[in-house]
Amino acid sequence: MKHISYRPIPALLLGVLLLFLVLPIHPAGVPVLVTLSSSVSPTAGQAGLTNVSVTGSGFPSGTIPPANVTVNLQPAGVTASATSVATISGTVRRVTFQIPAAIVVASPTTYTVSISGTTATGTSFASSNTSALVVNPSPTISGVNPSGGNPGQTIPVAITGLYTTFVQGVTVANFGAGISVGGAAAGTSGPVAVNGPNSATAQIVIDPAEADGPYNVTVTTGAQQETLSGGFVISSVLSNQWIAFNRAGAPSSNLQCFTPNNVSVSGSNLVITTQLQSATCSSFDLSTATFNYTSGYVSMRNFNFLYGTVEFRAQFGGGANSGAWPAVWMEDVSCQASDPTGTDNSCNGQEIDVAEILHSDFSHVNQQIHVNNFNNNDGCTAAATDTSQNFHVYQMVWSPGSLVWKIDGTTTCTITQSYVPNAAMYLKIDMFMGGSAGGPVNNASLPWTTLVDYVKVTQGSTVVFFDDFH
Amino acid sequence: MSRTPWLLGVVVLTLLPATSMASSVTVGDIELNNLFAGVNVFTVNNFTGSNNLGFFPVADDVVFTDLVLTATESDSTVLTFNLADLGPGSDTTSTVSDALLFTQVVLSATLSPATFTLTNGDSGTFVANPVLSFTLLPSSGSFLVAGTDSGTFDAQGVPEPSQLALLGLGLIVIARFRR
Repeated sequence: MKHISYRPIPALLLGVLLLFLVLPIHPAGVPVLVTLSSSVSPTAGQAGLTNVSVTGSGFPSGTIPPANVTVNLQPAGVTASATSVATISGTVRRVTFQIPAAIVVASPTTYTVSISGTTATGTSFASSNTSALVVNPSPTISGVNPSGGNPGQTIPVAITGLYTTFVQGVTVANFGAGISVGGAAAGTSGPVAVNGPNSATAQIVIDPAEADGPYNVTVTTGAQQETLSGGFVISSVLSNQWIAFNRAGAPSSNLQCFTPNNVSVSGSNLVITTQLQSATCSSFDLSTATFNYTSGYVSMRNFNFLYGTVEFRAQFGGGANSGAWPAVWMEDVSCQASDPTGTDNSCNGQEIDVAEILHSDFSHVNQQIHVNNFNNNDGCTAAATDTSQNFHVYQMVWSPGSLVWKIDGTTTCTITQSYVPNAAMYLKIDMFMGGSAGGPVNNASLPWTTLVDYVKVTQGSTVVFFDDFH
Repeated sequence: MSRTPWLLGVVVLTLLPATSMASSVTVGDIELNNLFAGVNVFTVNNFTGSNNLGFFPVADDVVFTDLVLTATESDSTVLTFNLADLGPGSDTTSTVSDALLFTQVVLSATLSPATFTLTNGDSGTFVANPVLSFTLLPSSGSFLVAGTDSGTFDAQGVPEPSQLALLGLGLIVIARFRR
């Protein structure tokens, strides 16, 4: 057998060569490339609040202190330090960071996330691709339903959020003084039933002695909090059949704030007052602003109907050349359920004006439909003795394909058209002012007072709705 | 002639089906993280398909269907999260109060499909048990810790029919040699 002698020097060289072949060598200054997952987890969050993680493979071995990792978000050009770096498997690691508070967005905005850093021993690394992150605006409460109640009532209130993260067992709500939520003491935060990240239900009890007015609704989920200013209105003067709005007007007539304080029941009448009074308000389609006038606006809270006869007895506020624009009108039911703060200006484009005074001409009553997004606007202008000085009984008979208006029992207008609304509607009573429909406001004529004696809806011989405001 | 070399060869061939491919492959992970103060989140990642980071072995798109998380609290209360199907390269989250202490969370799902192509060293077709089950336990202490506790979970392989046939044939031959 041939003897093979051991030669240490060539063996050592061979070993070093093998080592170079096996171990990845990265020249100084050239970072190890890391492949990131296509999106972070969770995929969306709130700046200054949400912790998100990005997973990548190809990280160099060894300890990576979180402070050594920089997260870069584009297009904001904002950086953040990692809060933790965890190894998932092999070269796969998860880098966690908080979305920087410096990012401010008005709508959900997608950012790209890249990372770079060094290990504790100085090996640098950088991502070769980016991961997607959606930054949401600050969460808000978009509405509560119902948006109001009477003293002494116990009712469930649906809370709808936008970009919220409601969590069962964490989320609590506060409706303000005198209102208990989920069994908690009145005025404190109480638990709610969470239906989803943007939906919860609060069981509230309103103190019988609690004062009328708007109350803020605040929902808290850990460090996340949002408030709907004046989102819930306590009203002791109206039956629970009505909502008294607390909101700005409409883009076409935006001179006033509608406040519950301008709605009352007195002398067996619903009383809507319009006055020269500075107030600040907003609505879903109008930014917060201060106006010189306040007025009143009520809407049927739950009741709606398809066909039948609507009847009311009223005397409108204002008077000739006052700038007043009172109306009793109906809109499509699709708006009613989502109507806590009056987000109902264009309800499927279906509107019936039962009685409306235009251009401060109180000797004529506009009786009209606006349907198919204002493409069909049939109607009449009916004469009546000064509607600001006299009570009249206004009536409208709604049948399939037909509408008949009456004032004090006399037919004043008839429409027979296939496009007469054929879906359920609900009634609203308000006093807008100014604009193209009201004309210039005469401050000397203020305050105005609209009185409604009763509202009744019948179907056949059955009275399906009645409020005589006693 | 000695029968030993023949027998050794047969034994090697018999065991080959069991050693030719990994018995399990990583398809995802589950983590407990802090979403923000007051809220923790269980996150399940699907590491299959084109977004497998070039690291995890399953190259085909695999969906986790019937995905359920069952988290057990320190007082034995059980929270169950029935989650939507989780596609390849994506994740799903379930939020919980950060005040809750969990002793474990059990993940169960069904792999669809259960036969897929491997890359990254493990190549070929992998036939998995479609039933996926994994229990995440605290890495230390009695309760899961957000930001600390996570674990990858694997699809378990089942032998292909041809592999079973080869195994059976080998066992028969060995038995004859031993007589």
